Amino acid sequence: MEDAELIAQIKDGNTNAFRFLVDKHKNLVWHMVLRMINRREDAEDLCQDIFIRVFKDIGKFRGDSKLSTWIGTIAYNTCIDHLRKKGREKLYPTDNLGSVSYGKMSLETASDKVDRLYIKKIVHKVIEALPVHYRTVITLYHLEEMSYKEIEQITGMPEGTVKSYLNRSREMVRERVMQLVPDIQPVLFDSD
Amino acid sequence: MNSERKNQHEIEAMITEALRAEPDFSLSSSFTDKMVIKIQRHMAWKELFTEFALKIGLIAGTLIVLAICLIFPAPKEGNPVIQILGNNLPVISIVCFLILFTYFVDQVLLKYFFRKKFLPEKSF
Repeated sequence: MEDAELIAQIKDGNTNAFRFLVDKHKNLVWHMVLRMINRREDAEDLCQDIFIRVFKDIGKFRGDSKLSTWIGTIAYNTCIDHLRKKGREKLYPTDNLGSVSYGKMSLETASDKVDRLYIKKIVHKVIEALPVHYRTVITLYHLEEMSYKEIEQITGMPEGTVKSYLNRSREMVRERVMQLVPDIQPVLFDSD
Repeated sequence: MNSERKNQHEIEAMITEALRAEPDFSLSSSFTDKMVIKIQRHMAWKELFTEFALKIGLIAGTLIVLAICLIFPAPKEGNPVIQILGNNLPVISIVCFLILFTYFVDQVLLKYFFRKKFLPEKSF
């Protein structure tokens, strides 16, 4: 179904059209919320708030961008407002990652266990410790496969800043992973 | 040197793969249903409230026209309707508020809760 047709039907009060919209875009919203606020307990409620806002503001969508980008913008702004209200997170990035909590994950036997699943867990933990704008950019680019232009529209950051944040965050992830799993190189050499 | 570069390349590939991987937690399977129910409730509330506002607007409009007809033209010695209204303003205000509140409860709140309670959620 085309975006314009979908929007027209939602405006007419068709709840099945709204169901279709939620199904189509819930992963985008969920990924953004989960990565931005880093709290699973609040994430689902926030997703609901975002979709209610989408429904209420659907008449304001002018079609200048893709519907997914517009929904992403609402999700981004809602998460930023939520973080400001909670006041527990620095909104602007610094180079300092601070301490990273790895929970019960054991790194002792890293050299035996270095596999893709293990690296995935570590990378996800490292992402959690990144500043919120870095987390957002990296999620939109890698997980949602959005272009720089779309990320610019969602976050309001200039394209240059998006690229810079993306490179910096990727670099931070790589450095941190190498620090945490120093044996990653020998293991990979062995596998050659 | 070559194997080191290959190794670096492989590490980058693993990190990229990890960055593209879905988070371990997903939304509850009933998320879409919950959203649709919320929206149906929102729409029901909006519909009932709009209906109430229109009825109140109609009644208020009629009363205003009636009041204009009664007040104008005013006799020289003073309009008795204005005098009655002026002398009993607190009582009239309280009665108007009570009527409005009862009408709101009857037309909006009760209908809303009735729909919420007695109709199956899917058809709400």
